[in-house]
Amino acid sequence: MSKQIPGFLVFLFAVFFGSVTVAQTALTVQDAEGKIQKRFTLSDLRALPQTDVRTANEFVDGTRDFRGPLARLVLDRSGGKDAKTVTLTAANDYQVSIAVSELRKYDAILALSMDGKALSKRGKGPIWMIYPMSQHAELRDSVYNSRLIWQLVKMEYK
Amino acid sequence: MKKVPIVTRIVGAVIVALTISVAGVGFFVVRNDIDQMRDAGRENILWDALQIQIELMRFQRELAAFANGRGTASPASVNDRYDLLWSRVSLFRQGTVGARLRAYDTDGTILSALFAKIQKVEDQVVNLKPGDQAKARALYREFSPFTKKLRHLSQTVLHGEESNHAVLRENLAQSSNLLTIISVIAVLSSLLMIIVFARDSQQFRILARANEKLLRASDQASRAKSQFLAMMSHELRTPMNGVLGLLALIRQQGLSGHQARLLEQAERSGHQMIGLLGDILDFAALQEGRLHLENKPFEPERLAEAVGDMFSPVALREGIAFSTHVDPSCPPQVLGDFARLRQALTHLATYILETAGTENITLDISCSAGKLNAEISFEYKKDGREWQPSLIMGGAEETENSLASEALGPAVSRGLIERMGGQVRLNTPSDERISVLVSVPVRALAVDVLLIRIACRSAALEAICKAALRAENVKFVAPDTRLIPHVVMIEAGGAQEAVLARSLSRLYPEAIIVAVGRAQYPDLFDDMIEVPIDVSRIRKARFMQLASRAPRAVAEHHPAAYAASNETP
Repeated sequence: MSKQIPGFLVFLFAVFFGSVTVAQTALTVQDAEGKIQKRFTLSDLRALPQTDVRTANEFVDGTRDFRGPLARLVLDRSGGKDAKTVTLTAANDYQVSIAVSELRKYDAILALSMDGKALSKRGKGPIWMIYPMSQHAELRDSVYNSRLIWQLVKMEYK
Repeated sequence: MKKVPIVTRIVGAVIVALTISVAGVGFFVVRNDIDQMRDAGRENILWDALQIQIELMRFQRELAAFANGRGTASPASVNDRYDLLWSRVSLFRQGTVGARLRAYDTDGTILSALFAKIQKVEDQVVNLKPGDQAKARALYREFSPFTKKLRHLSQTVLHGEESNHAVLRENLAQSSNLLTIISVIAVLSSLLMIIVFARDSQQFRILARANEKLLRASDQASRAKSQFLAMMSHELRTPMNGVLGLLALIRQQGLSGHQARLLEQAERSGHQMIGLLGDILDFAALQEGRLHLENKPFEPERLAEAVGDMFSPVALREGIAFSTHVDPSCPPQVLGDFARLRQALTHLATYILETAGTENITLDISCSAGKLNAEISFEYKKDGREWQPSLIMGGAEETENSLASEALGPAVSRGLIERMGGQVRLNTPSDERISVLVSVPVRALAVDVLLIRIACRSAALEAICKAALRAENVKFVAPDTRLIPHVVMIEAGGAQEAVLARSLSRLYPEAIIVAVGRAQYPDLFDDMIEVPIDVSRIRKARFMQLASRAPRAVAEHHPAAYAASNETP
């Protein structure tokens, strides 16, 4: 009996830590001083108002339905309302800087799903910056291709 | 010279076609350029190829670190790198970027093979346990051949894209050369067009100058002829007047009946000739457009009378019945040229009498909507001799007949009527009757208040005039006011009379100039009243009919009665 109790506890621990690993941070947002302003889990991001963008780009076949919170919304919720530029970093350390005015002009989203399916880590997930390229011809350019950053993990605003 | 416009038209059409085709070529070139620019804006796939290479190296480095137990390498970190590698390599499977990458992996030995390998080792990577160093080493070796292959792929992509860009640059250079050539052609064709049109317009200018010269020459010739005609007519009239004077002297010397008849014939011929010469003078004046028309008030009633006065003796001699009638609807006074209207109507009636072989002619004068209409109606016999309506109507080409002496009267008449802005029409109410309808625009003269200016030297005479004329709708105008009088009354007698009449008729060209008393120069006056002044007669004077309402004192004198039918035998 006494041997069973620690086993049960181990199981409880496993469940507890397991849930912690499930709820791990997907996106961190830092300010100009490098201070972390906000950590978003995927469910935090899903809890934000979602925007649908139906668009094509050079990395997918045909036109797809993307869904996720607006990039500017995530920035605003992290205290970056007055930020001028934002630097995005991907899991493979790829980085790109974007003017915040651009995010206010275009409805760019942090897509969490494509055609209703969550973006996987082995695809472009879990977070993929998507610009509405089909709606704006001027966005169909390699400059904006390089901003379609996938496996996004960090945002730093200035 | 006639060929010039056709040549110009062809050259112009060719240039326009050339310019349009050049513009079309330019449009397609530019569009092609834009497409190429869009291609240049596509993803740089060299970056993607290099990223696969780097990601594979990172995965292998992590495997090596794990196998050697170095650093923080763990099964989890190896799996993270594995997932990123998977993500990178799977890029070649989708989208246009994928298609372009596949194009460099034609035999599928690099990317497809690498992806197959990644999928194949999935179980081994996912199930990697701490301490599985040997397994990690084996995995490392599995991927080693791809390092070289990916390096080769990157180089292929680099060179392929470089040559693609070279082609693009070459195309852009060619199309900009083409655009330059097109621009030069467009400029040249525009210049050519300007030259062609300038040359053309110069030729037209030369032509216009030549025409102008011709016109001037012919105008001059025509004027010279008219002047010659007028001069000759004038020169002929003088001796003829001399002949007539001598004939008149002979008549006083008691001639026998036979001689008197001969003399009468000679006199008539002489008068006819003077009339003809007068017509020639008028015709010349009309041709040169220097005939001056008057615009003065006159009574339609008087017009009928005057035509009757001139025409009746002729009608009587020829044994033709002539009657006039004035419609009561006519206003008592209208503005127009009385003498010229009388002349025109007399000429028409005379021509009808001489050519139509008729037995009776009537003249009806009526007024309608700012027009004075005169209808000369006559009985027409089918054998009516030389009656030629075209001489009256005009419009016919000049024939031998239209230059005959008898054509002169109708021509002068037509010219006068046209000069007045009127027209002549022909009407045939029945087979036997023909009407010549003349209508001339006139302005009815009727005023609410009759403005009279009295210019008398004697204050007493002026007072008498005013007393005689005083009525509700009569107003006297002082010399220093701006009001323009309808009637100007001038005391007759002495040289003063002529000076005053001339200056006042110049000042008020439309006013009726009335002489008070017997004038020494009656030609200067339109009307006259006798002195001593008879009140009832002055109120019946013609100029008093100007007012739209007859003055109260003459109310019993209705205009209709004034314009009653007046037949002259």
